[in-house]
Amino acid sequence: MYTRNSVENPRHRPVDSAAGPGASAGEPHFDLAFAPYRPLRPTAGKVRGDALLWTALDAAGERERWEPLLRAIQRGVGRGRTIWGASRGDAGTTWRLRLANPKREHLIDSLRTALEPWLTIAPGLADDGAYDVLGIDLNTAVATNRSVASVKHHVRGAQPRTLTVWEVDSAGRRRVDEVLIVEAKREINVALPRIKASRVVDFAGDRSRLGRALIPELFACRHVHVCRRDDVDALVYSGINVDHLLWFLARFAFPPALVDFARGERERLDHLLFDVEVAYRQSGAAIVYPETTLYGAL
Amino acid sequence: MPYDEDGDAIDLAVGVIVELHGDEPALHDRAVGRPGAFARLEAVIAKLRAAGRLPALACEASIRADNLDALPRIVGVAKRLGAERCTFIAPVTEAAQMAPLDATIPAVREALTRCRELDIDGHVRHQPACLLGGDAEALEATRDASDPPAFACLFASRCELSERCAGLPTAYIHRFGWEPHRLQPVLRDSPWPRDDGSPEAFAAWLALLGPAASRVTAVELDRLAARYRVDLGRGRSLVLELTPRTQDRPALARSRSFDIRYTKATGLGGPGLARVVETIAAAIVARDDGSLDLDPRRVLPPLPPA
Repeated sequence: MYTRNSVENPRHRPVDSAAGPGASAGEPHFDLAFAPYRPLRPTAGKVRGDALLWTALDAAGERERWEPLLRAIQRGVGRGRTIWGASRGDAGTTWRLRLANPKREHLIDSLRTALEPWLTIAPGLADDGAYDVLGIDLNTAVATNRSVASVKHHVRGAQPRTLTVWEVDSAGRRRVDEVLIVEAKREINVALPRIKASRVVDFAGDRSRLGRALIPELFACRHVHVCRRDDVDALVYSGINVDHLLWFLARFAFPPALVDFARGERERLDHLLFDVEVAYRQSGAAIVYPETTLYGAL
Repeated sequence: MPYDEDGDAIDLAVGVIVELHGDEPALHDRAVGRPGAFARLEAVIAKLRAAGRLPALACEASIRADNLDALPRIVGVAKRLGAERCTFIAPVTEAAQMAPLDATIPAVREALTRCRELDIDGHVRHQPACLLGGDAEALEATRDASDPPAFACLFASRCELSERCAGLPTAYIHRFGWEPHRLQPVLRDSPWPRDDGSPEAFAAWLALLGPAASRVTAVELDRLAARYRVDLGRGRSLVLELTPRTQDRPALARSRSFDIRYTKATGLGGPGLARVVETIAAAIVARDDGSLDLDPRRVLPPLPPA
């Protein structure tokens, strides 16, 4: 058994099939904003971050449904361009995908072709390629209808490190998210006013609410994405390490199978940085968390 | 033989540290959850002193919501017991015992004033340095070994004091908030020392080991320690650990900046092990010019693959 305290040389440890294929040295590592980073540890003997996705799918009993489609995206779009997300909320688990579109290509059209055997994507929507990141959500309704009704266009704003997210279908588009990305600690003077200028939480009415919205255990991240949506705010803690991830998974009651996997493979995940999102709003006097999401590179 | 929290034997010839949470029996007994504890404490100290076995006494008082008013008076009790040192410690995880900063800070500062009046060495732990004013020197630096951290501060990267102040306990933040309106960070006007995880920075850590660097299969560098996994071949390996230099913690050797230890030796023993680790330690001592620093407040730097 490979434990946290062991000094077994990870380079000599075979990668087992349950964790999926192992990490390779030349593999790109990037965060939710598709910004590259150097792995924290040598990658030999480590597992890829998508092992968490497959485990989460297993835990939800949905791997058989979605894996072929996700593998097709992995092959068609290419590694280094796709982020997956496992989002837990009142409506169950939603699987999120974000695909980078740095050259402003017609990514939806490419995706339609790659996913033709399984799904139609935003029927009737003309793909103008005018987006920096394409988002699609996979859930039970999508599986039932075999169709993704709408997609999300993430468009860089005029101001640095700002994004606007539009939900788009053939009928039109509506703004669903405004995002500001800052370095968590160095630029807290920028992030804090933005967090406190909330439409869904009265921070002035109870100053302790800030401690439950901006979660101190995750503040040691590299970047924070301050997100303003229709009826919730959200913070993405981007660039947390595996110990922070373990805390997050346990705190927000992710499936035990996923928590156990991450804990058991801690030593083989410690080269990675992770991105997690906590959506929040005020309910009565309390802060509630309607949705939490774990992201990783596909 | 009594033991401290690290399992090291307490040398009665050096001194004894006792908990003292109240200035009267009911308050202290309630805090420790044992009726009669205050009386027993007084009796034990009197007995040790009468036997000539108590050259030095230090008291530790928790900063609790229910004993804030008593903190200055606790100093008086400590003096009566013969204490030379008194440390006031805010709880880190027990949120129910916590009081807000606007209540704790005045009480702690009054207690530190009382320490000076009674010629007792006063110290404080786990309170923000920026609010202690002229008493900031009494703050004992907190090295937060937890991951996720047990302390946080919104201003950690922007405050000059954060090299010795860990900020607020996360349990406090959950209960009372981040207190941005109350904290008074001393904004940095100098950059952090360069250590950005660049290959050059990584190489400097590796070079510290001299020829043994070629045996290193991995380096783990975090806010508290540099750990080198050393593979000596034929199934022999060990982990070499560098932590910030102290004067008194057990260590194999001390270089200019670090305490040097080894752990997890596999396939090594006896003279062979001693020879290997002493050689590596000597190389580190010879090469450590003091330029490498483990900073508790710096964000975890990334390391490139070995």
